[in-house]
Amino acid sequence: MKTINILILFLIIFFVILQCTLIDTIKILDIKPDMLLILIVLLALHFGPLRSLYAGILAGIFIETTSAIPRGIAVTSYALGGLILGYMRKWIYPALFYSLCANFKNSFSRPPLKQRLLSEISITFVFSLIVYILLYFLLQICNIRDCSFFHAFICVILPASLYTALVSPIVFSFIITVLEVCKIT
Amino acid sequence: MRGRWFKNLRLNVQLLVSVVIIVIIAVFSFVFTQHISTVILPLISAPLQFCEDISVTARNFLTFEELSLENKKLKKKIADLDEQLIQMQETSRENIRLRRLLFLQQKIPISTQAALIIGKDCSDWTKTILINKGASSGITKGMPVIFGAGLVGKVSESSANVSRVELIVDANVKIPAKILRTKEEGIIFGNSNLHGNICNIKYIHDIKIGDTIVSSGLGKIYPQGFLIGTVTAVDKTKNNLYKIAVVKPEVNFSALEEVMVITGGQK
Repeated sequence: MKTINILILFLIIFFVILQCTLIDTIKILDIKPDMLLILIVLLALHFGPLRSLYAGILAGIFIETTSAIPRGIAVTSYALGGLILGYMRKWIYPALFYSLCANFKNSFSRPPLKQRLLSEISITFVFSLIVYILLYFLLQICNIRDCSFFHAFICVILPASLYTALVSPIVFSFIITVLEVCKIT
Repeated sequence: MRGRWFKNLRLNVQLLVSVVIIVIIAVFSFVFTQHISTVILPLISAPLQFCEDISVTARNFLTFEELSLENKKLKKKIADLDEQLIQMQETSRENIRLRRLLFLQQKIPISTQAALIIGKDCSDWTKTILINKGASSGITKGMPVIFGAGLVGKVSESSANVSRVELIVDANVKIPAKILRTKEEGIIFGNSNLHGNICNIKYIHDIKIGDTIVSSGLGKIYPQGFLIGTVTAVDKTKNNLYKIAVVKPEVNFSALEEVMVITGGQK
């Protein structure tokens, strides 16, 4: 099995454990950021659709294990979201693409900090919205959560996406450091 | 032109295969993830417990002043409760004596199993907790969970040494309840707005702010007489037939560190 696949598995387990324990202390208004989504965004943009599909499936399985989301729903949402973002990465504005996928050690091609932060936050925000909206509709189809879209959007989808996006630069830096240490770039 | 069309076809086939893989995994995940979760949960229970301990320490450090004030209030409450306990014990003895006189069957005392919380829900869509006791300690799906006199929820899944507990504030939860003042029965629904640790009681007529809500014991899932919470707001339903009230739970789920699982006895 390739090193990158094993690393993705370990990163997912690490983020799931964080998500269930320490991340709870930084909740704001009962909302916490989703570390797994941020990981999937980076894998989709850096490694393409297959890695993000693999990460999405694993992330979905772990989320279903550690929450009451019914089987299959989180797997579908996260895997589909990662797959779509992975395929769309080359249609995203080139500066946004290159700001995340440039050679990190090559300081000449590394874009300015402001541009990099804006791109990370904006991509993560949009991707989070898509995955959460998909998750909401899948939960509604299964009649699991009887909640109007407006309430779900205002109370969970929008704040969670925003919080995840704001935290994403820190998490991206951490993941990129781990990838560089493991010599996978 | 032909090569470019062929290249697009390959991409489309890749996309189609990926979607089919997702659908297959989603459809059959209810079969294999249940088995996978019985493997995953015990494996991650140790790191979960370690991280939760760090989380609790951090929380205690950040809320030191509040804890100090709460400590003083609780000491006073203990003194009041000790006094009530003596009176209750006397009432209980009289109850047993009278039951014997009337040849009524004695209630079997409940048996409980203490458990530590090792993790909270991974997502924002559901409200659950993970505890460090499972099937090996006799805990099975459906067992009610309490903390002191307050109802916490029920066990929704149990593996070897880790179980998942669905809290009463989860949107999917329905609990038969009654108002302590009037004995009127209603149903507690978890928070359908998915935000905040509150629940709602529906299908009631006579309720007011400050009323205490307890579990009624109907359905034999949740034991009778456990505190659910206090009413903080009252409203009418759209058809004006019933009232609906917001209930603030008795248990503070944010600060919960341990619970008791009712493993047997009277429900």
